[in-house]
Amino acid sequence: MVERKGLLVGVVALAVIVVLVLTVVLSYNSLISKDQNVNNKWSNIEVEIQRQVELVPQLLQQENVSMYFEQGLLENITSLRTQWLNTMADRSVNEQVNFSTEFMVQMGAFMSVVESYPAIQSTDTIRDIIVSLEGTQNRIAAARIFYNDAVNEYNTAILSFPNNMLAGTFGFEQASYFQQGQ
Amino acid sequence: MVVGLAVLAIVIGGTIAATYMVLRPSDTGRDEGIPELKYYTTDLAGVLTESDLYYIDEICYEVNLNSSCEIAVVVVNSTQPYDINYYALRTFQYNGIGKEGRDNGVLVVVATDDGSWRIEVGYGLEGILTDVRVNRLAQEYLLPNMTAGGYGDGLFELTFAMGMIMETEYSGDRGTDRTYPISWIPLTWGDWALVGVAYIFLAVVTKGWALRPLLFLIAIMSGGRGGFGGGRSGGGGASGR
Repeated sequence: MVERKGLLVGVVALAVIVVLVLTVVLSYNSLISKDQNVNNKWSNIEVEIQRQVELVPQLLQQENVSMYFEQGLLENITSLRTQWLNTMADRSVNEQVNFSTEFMVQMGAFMSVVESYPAIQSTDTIRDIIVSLEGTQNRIAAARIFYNDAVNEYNTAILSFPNNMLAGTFGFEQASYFQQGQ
Repeated sequence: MVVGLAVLAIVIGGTIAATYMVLRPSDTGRDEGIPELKYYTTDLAGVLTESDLYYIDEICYEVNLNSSCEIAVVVVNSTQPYDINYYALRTFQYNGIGKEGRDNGVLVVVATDDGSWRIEVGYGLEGILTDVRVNRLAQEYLLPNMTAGGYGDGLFELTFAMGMIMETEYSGDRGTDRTYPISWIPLTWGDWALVGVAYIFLAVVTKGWALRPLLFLIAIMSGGRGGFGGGRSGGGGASGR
């Protein structure tokens, strides 16, 4: 009678342990997968920013283009461009996201100028570069939605039970949203 | 005992079906004002004639048949309250233009009162229909015709030009819709296998009793809306006014 009871307790305890281990494994894998998703969605944006970084100087080199832009704006963009090319590769996704918000603000101002002065588009080459730039802007807008969705899913998972207990232990931190900026 | 088993079977069958539906590419919810497209060409502004609709549809049909690429055309008075880029992207996503996996769809949106247009290109076509190229096509065929009475011609010429490009340059898989063994039920071999397993299980356990809900589920599992394949776009293309 006592033996039976001991056996039962042992089996139950084992079952509980198995369930706990499974939970931890599933939870960890789920967080990893969501984290990877965030990184994937960010790299879609990164690719477009890279393209913008390359296109902007191409545009400014065309004849009679740079005169339409305020010197301050051009300096900002150049400086941000340089930072992007030199330092972003080593940064974490969150750092890149935060940096990019500022870059996006400047690009927004840049594109506003382009749109306000149709006279800029004086050659086919210029027009094509501008179309490409507008394309990247639009892609970033779309990719931002997907990225923020991924961040939302990931952050919610980290903060919910039971993942929240594990997140700290395994070093999962919240991801940054890609804000609109000013 | 039998009732218990029946309930169990329904629960399990339901779980299989539900899991399957969850794992499929997710549906984008519908924003208000984003149209559900039932045909290749949709004219909500009333500027296209019957024959315009017919000829444009025919191009889209041929292109789909020959290259599996899907072209959709939408004409509206205005895309308000959305700007045309957002409107086009959401319409594209909601209707899933292009074949699932190949993402070879193109959506043309023209807003007659706004005077704006957008050509939204799916991921799978961005290589051949670049932003620059698509903008040129619009400049050449669409813009000169953005006038009352001209939309039909403009859209026809644009669709024709894009269709030619797709047919000659598309290098992806051109097979007809992922093989549907029974063409009017949108399930692939893999889908059928899963259905088969659930079907057999339920049939055996409930002696045929629990099968009706399953048939209903089959009917509502499909890739895109109104016949479009479930393709995706990431914001590529060009627009203007």
